[in-house]
Amino acid sequence: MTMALLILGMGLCSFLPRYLPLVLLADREMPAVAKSLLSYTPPAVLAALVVPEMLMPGGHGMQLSASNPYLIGGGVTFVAGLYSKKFLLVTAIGIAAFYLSRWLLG
Amino acid sequence: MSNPQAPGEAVRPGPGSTLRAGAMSMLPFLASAIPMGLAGGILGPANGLSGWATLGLAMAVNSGTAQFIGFALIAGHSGALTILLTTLILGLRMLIYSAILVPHVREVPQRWRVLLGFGLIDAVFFVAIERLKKGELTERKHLFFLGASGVMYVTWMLCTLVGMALGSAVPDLADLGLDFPMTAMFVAMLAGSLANWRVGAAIVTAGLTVVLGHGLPYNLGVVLATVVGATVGTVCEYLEKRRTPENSATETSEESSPDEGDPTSEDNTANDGKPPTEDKTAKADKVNEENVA
Repeated sequence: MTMALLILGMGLCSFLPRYLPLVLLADREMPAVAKSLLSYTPPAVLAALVVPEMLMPGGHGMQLSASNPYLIGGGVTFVAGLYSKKFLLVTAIGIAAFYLSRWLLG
Repeated sequence: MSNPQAPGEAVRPGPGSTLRAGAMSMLPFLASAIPMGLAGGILGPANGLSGWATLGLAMAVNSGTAQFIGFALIAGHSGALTILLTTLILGLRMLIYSAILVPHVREVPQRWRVLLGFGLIDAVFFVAIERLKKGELTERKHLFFLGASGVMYVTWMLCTLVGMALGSAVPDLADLGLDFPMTAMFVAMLAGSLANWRVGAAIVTAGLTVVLGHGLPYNLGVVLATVVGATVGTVCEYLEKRRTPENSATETSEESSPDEGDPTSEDNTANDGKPPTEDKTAKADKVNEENVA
């Protein structure tokens, strides 16, 4: 029941930003500041999500070491992503690096 | 982008062909939607969600990003407030898309706008805005949107179901470090969004904030870090504008050009009459979000 409510809430939070401008906005421009804030939101939220995953996998404290496959895999993914914009390829390279380092590190 | 419909046909297309054109326009995007949908179906149960919750979440949010992050947050026992706020934050780029579409959907009836809004994902936006600007889409716009959004939605849900079946057939999938593919996907998006130093500043400060704030209750550090990162990016943009005179050429060399023809990379997506610097970052984000609709 709680889960159902949560899912409905998430659905609403996902729907409103797509829908509201269509009914509320006249031909007015969004203020420049709002536009700018919005444009930096995706990278900021992504960073906020991946940094803990890489540095503190499973939520077990800091693992800033070369024996942390999450950090290695994430690092490789990022570097690959700077060289290629082929999203799926970059993701695949990163996943391969993760599993390889995991296997090598036992 | 391959265009299945020759532009400017002499014969006026009927409702069916508009719907079909919308559906066909999404074919190139299915290549990335299918594996992502499968991954979602596998990862939901792996993160402790029931089958119903996995499918329900996919159906409700209609967004790969929100779905994957929802799994991660639910598995990490985040508070409902954090989960909802994060979902909202992830959807904010849709405000931009939606606002850009407003002048183009004047004649679309209100009741259709609900569907249009619900079905609005990155891929649909890219294709639609391109055709709207070129004047290739002038009538029955709602049907074009319905065709495009419908194909993506149905494909995604079917792939979710197949992924769930795969996951239950191979029960050990969850012990295989399956949380990493999700992280890899986000890191790939992150690298793709790094169009200039301002985005870099936003990323670094958000990352720092989330590490410093990891002790906050309900995982609120994620929300705080997002606010800090976006603010820093905006401040950097403001400083940049102060430094460079209005009439200077924009530093396009900084911009990484995507090698997968992005329909919006050629033209200024935002309305005219503003300095191009203003939405460059937004464009860069859109470019890399292209595959993550």
